[in-house]
Amino acid sequence: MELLKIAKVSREFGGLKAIDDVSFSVKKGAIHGVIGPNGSGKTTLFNVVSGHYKPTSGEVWFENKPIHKLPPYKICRAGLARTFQNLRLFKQMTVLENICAVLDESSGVRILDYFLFLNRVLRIEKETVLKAEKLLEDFNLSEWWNVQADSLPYGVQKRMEIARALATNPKLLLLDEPAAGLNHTETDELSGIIKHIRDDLGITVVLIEHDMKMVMSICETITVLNEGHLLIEGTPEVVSNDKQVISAYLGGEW
Amino acid sequence: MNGTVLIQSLIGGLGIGSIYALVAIGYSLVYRTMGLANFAHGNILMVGAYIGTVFYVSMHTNFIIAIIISSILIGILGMVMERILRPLGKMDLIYMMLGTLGIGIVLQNLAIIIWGTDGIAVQYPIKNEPWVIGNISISPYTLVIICASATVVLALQFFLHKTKLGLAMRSSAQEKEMSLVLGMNVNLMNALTLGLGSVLAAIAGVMVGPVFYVSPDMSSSVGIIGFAAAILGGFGSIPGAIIGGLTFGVLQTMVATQVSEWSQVIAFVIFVFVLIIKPSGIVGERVVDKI
Amino acid sequence: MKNKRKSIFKGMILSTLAVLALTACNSQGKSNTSKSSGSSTKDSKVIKIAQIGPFSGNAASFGNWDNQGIMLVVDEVNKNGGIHGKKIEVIKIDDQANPTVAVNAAQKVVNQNIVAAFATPLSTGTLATLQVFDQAKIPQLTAGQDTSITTKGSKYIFRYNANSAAYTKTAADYIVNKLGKKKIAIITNSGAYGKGERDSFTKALKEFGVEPIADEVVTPDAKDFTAQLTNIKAKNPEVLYMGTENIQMGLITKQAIALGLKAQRAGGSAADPIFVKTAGVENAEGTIFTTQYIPDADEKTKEFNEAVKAKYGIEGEFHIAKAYDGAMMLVEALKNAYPNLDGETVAKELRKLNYSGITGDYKFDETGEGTDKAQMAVIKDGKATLLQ
Repeated sequence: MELLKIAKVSREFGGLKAIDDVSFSVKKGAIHGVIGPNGSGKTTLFNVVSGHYKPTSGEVWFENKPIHKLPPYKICRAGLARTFQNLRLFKQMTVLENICAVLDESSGVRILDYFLFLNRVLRIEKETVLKAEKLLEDFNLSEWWNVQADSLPYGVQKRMEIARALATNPKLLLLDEPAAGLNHTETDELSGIIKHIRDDLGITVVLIEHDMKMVMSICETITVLNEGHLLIEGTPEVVSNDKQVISAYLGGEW
Repeated sequence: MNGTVLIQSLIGGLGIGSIYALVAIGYSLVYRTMGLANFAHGNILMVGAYIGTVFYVSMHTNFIIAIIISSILIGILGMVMERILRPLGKMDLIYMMLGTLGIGIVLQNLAIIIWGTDGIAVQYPIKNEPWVIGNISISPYTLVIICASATVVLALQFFLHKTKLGLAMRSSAQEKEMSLVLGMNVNLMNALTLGLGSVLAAIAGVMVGPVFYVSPDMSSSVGIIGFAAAILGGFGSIPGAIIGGLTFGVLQTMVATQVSEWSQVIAFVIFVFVLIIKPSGIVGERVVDKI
Repeated sequence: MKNKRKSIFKGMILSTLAVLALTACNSQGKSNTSKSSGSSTKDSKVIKIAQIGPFSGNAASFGNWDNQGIMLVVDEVNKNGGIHGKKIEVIKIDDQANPTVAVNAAQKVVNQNIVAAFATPLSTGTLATLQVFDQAKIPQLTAGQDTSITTKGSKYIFRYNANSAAYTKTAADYIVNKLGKKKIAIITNSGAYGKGERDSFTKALKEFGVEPIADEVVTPDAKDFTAQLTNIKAKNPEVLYMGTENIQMGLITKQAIALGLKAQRAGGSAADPIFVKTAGVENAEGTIFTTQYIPDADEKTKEFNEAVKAKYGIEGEFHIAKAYDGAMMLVEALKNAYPNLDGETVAKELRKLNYSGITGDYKFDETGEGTDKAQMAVIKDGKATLLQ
């Protein structure tokens, strides 16, 4: 089933087309990679999908429903979460607070509840903390629960950012260069986490990455962008042997 | 200055300082979450004071219920304000601040049209017979103000640190885009913040009515000092706002015991002095730079 | 997209400016006049007098009381045919208790063919406008108490009230000699009335051999007196004399009681119904003060009380009674001066009068002082009662 469908999407900025007529789909349950040289439009694509930009033309469909006209927070509530390339943790809040701040959709707290149904609020707050603690355990973050986010080591911060995105109960997770700044061991760890997310939690993953080894090893399908166009899409073997891709790699700037 | 006068004015100063602190927290809360200096804050305080006082004096509502009614109405006013200011905020923060200026003027004149310029004298909601300990008389109502303000502040901190909504409000402030992408309706969070800040002003306004006098010039007399207190403590810092408010209150009262005519001025002289030495205010938190 | 933003911005700026303009219009002295015929007094069908005073803000009560007293007289006179057939018209101007606005109003109104002016019920405004009326040679009537009002050399000022010196002397005499109290604390404000109270009360006390043990001064718009009252309390006074206007007096009373200050509270003529309301009836109980009007004290005041009740639905009040006396004297002088209603003649006639009014006996001297007697009263059950 096509969970995410990008149909002829273009996005212009003052006459310059950052992405031009790009179409592809992501199958449910896949780990799907998006690669390309710098400036090929990968992050712009993510920004269009997550609702930060509206496409200049074209449409984005999620679970067979159009989402390209929705504001970002509604897209998230529809089941699509993303992380950013530069970490955007809630720096002055602890790890637990970072997670708890997010878990709001499935827990169903409304503002009015704070005034009328305090019991309900107290129950939901308790549940929230339990759910958050479980998530922290799952991602080996339990020991950091009370540490302020900006005091964490870099690798832990990255893990937390992913855990936090998962706290929204998404069906699809967009990861923007999750391996940036990680060493070999940490990158392997990351691959393990991504596989765990797909295999055990059943969440479809789309990731932008520059680390070719990692991409080729865990992605089943790879989409290649170059200068805003879709170059080619296929399995890691097909893509890594494609002549156009190789010349783009050698000729372009990574 | 002898000991009795010192202690007496300390207590009185803490009382009025608590009011300033509530007002200052309102300013700082909105500034740190929205980057907005709300110039209508003092006017909101005045309108809140009038609403609560009218219920208490004319309709003989219980004082606490009058405060709650005023809080609800003013909270809604704050949220409506956010909605009105939102398109300006999208353009530039400066326009949004000008907008608050305009709204403040409208509120001030509306209040005068509705309630006139005469003002309302308010009786204490409790039997205000002073407690005498040795040479010192303590006005019970002053203690009520101090305790009530402390309670409000504690409840606020609990809300902001231990509830989902509070955490969501803080995170929307720190990282707007990330919060959006994590499913939070940031516009709603901002509206709640402005509403919450306004509620603090309304509570302060109604509580201070029996001590002073509810009149249109409360916007400037209490409002401006609250603003200065927020800056003194470090604009955007809640603990700073508390320190700033209490400092102003105590300073004003103590100076007034010595040199009456200087009391209004001296607080601002010290204010300028502190800012020259430490521009980020007493607590000196690095302010969220949204401009 | 850009155009939409620009027009929203323009809209906001325009509406802000519009609101600002509205408020600016509001804040200028409002004047209520019926159409004036524009020709000189002799030929016109009306006799115009002006009333300048606060009709907005904290001091609005003073402007309103003055107006009520004046109109009580004017309406009656007009009903009976006016002055030699000519009706009296009152031009009412709000000075917002601001002396600058008062001066502007005075300068405007002296060119509108008025024969006299009531300006203003507050000493600050009166002092500010003295020169304007003196130079225009138009009689200026006031109840302002500051002693210096009659010492600035204006030949056209007429005070239908005792001045602060007279009031405070009565109070000092009572407190020191009748009550036998020697430890007296004073709290006054830095406005003209407050300063006058401070200076004359201290002087009067000195004459009786007493010096105040505390002397606190606040600004006229101060609302918090904790500090000053704390200082005063530390000196253990027997009497607290408050020389401020009614609202401040009420707040001081409230806060003094809250601080446990047990001294006998006393004040000047500012102990009016607004004072009682601000302080709260319970707190105001027992305050002694000086006045020239005690309701229901005799037949005259009873009659006056009835007349005020009938016309305005409120109890007769000190300031209304004063303005009533002042207006009665003016009407008498105008009747005698007619048809020469120029300032000089009217002023001469005013000085010729020997008038026995509700608030005392009046004879204006060369400087404009009309009377110098006052009585002691006390607040009982929220009302002014004669002190036996």
